[in-house]
Amino acid sequence: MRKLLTSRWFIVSVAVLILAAVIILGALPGSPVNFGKISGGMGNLFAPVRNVVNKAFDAFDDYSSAVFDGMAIREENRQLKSEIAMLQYRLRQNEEAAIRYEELKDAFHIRDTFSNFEVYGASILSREADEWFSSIRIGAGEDTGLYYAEGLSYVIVDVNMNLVGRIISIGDYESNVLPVTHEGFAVSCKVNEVNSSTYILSGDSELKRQGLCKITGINSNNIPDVGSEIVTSGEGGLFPEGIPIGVVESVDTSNSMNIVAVLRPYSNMYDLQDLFILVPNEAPEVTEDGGESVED
Amino acid sequence: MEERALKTDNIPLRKILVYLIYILILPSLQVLLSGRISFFGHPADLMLIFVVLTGFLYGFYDGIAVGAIVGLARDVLSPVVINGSEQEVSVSFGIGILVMMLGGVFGSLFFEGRTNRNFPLALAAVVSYSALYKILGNAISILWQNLFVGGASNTDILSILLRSVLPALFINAVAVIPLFLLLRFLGPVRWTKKRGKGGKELTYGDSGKWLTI
Repeated sequence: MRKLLTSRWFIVSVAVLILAAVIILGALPGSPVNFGKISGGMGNLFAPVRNVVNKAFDAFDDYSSAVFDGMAIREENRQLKSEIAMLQYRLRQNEEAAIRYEELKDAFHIRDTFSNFEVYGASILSREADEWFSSIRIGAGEDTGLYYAEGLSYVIVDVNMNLVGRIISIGDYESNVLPVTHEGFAVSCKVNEVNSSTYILSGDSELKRQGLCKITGINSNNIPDVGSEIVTSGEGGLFPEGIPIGVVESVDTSNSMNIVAVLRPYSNMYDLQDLFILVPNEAPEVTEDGGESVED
Repeated sequence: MEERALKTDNIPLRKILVYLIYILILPSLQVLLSGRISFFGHPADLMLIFVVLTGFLYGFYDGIAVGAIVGLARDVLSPVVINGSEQEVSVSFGIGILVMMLGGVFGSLFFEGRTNRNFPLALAAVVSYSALYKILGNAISILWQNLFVGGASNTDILSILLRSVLPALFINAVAVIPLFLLLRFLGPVRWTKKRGKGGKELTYGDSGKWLTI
């Protein structure tokens, strides 16, 4: 008996069986055991180490920049000075335009894309984008004011306000983000022009490997052109209208009943440094048809 | 040769501390390096390489234990997101532990008792498990999409091989070099202690089946 218990194959078999049970139990809808919540606090263990590693790399980067980039920095500095002068000139012009815009906005009740949202920054704790693991973990959770509610999910954008994904689970201090390229992601979208038809953008297991998404629900009379910019349509209320997603890379019209376009998202998962969470100012109101609206 | 049982009362403090340091640092390093060093968009999977090398260099029990803990870190930091047929998604728990634990076991069993525990074999062990990991991952992903979700695009095996499997194998093979040296010379067992008569290592691993370097 002792020989059996210490047998390596026995240990591996038992461990695999237990883990299989844990995986299945955790994946069942309405599972009573929330393993994600149990393990959520463990992410905090890595926070101090991550900070030390980041600081060490930053220090190394600074040092190597000081040694090797002197000439390049001087040249860049010269170019930046002339660029600042140009930008200051444009800023003066834009200040005038901004005043005019505010006047028009009040007069015509124009809504800013993010006027109903607070924008919070969050650091990336981890990211994986392979066949097994495909999610981003960010350093913002219930402590930042995020909370779970039926029909509510938070939109994640990058520093250029391009769509990155949405939050799918919220912990005490951290949250998991589902990226746009994941098969489980879907959003209503349109070409970034007035009166464009809406399509459905979703992830695809095959395209994910190339960092791409697919667009379906395309009407043969309204096919998006290759190179056109795709933005969120705002339908459903979860995502505000006008968030840039990416550009159409190709369109397959071989089957007129199922026209599929391929989109290259602006945000590249591995290039992301900081993320921003769009938090609605008001709690969303779930409508009868399952969508929700954000009150002004 | 008879298998040696796990003796939990005789685990040196150095071993625990060294593994702890690696387990805490590697996930952070992986996130940091993923945006800087990659090959065709694939960063090195330092956590996977670490568990395979641990099993390969320090035996079955080290491999399975370190694999399980690193896998737990993987599940906590980057959980697998499973999607259903109606676009609903759920965060799973345990797949990371399973994959990494089996990586440690794979490393410990890789050509056990047949060849030396040297660098070329370590490289072969990591490349083999990386290939298995990628091929299985792709197969499960495609099967899941076709069987349970639907709407998957056509599967192109050549594309999977060129865009997913081969770049990952290459970058992982490159990352084996520093990690092997670290685990070998700054590992859980003092390198100088492992030298026996004639400069050969006599006790290496826990199964008693391994040949000397």
